[in-house]
Amino acid sequence: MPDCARCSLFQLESENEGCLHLNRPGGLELTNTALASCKLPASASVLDAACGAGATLQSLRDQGYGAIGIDLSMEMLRKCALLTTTQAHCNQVPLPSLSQDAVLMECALSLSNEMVSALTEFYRLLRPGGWLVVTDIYIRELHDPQAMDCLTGSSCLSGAKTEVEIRSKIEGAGFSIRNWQDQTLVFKQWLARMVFKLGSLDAFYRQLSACETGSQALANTLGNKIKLGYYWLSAQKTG
Amino acid sequence: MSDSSLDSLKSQWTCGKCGAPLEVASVNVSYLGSGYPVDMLVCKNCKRPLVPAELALGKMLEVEKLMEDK
Repeated sequence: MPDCARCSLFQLESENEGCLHLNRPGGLELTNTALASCKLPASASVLDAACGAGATLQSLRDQGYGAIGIDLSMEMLRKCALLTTTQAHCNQVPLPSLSQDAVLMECALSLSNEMVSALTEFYRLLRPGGWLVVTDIYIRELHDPQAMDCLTGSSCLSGAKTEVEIRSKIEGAGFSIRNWQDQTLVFKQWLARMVFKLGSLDAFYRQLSACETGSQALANTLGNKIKLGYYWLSAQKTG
Repeated sequence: MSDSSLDSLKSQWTCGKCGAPLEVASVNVSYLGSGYPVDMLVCKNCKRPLVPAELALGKMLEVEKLMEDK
């Protein structure tokens, strides 16, 4: 379960620009596109898992949804003072079974080192026919499987998986994937913004990696051996 | 480029078209349909920007490679 405040990318954005998770690839526009694919009823109950500073949560409330957020970080939850939130782990959410119409997880599923148990918990929370909505990075091209080891030193990329692996885990948890949309162009545009903001991709990799050698290895890996992409998906609880 | 290097460049250049001095301004640089605000030197009169080699061969080249999967 990710803790937004510990994410190495979190400090990239200043207070004036808002939290990185508001400025994540695609922003709220992508969130709303993914949610629209579910055609939720007007007052649907939506859980924002790993809600961070609450940007999406506020948007959900503004749209009339009964939105609740969870996050591990109290630092983040303090920024959501006027919203309904609680500190909780994704695989142990203090809400009744069959209580949610949708569960939303943005830029966080790949951070979870217990993805299967989180998906199992989301399945428990959702009503029959309820929706799981995910936006996240994924491994678009893998030219050297050994290079996966290089991602483990990076907090934000360590859990990145291929589309096949992601589909398998979500469907294995009892969901049917109704939509999968590649958003790699949006991700590249976001990275390009980081290049202009920080000066270079290397500077960005230094943010992601704990040490200089780690950032050099990461640059080499992401330049030649692994191509990252971005997606949103919506999946329905079946069975 | 840093603000200080832009300031030092400012005194070295005038606009080739109208001869007016340059000033630091935010310019929207676009590539493949995406725009990015970048501080650059622009002419005070005709607003033509000066693109330094450091920017063209640095951030701009890196973004081009990124966008085109090079």
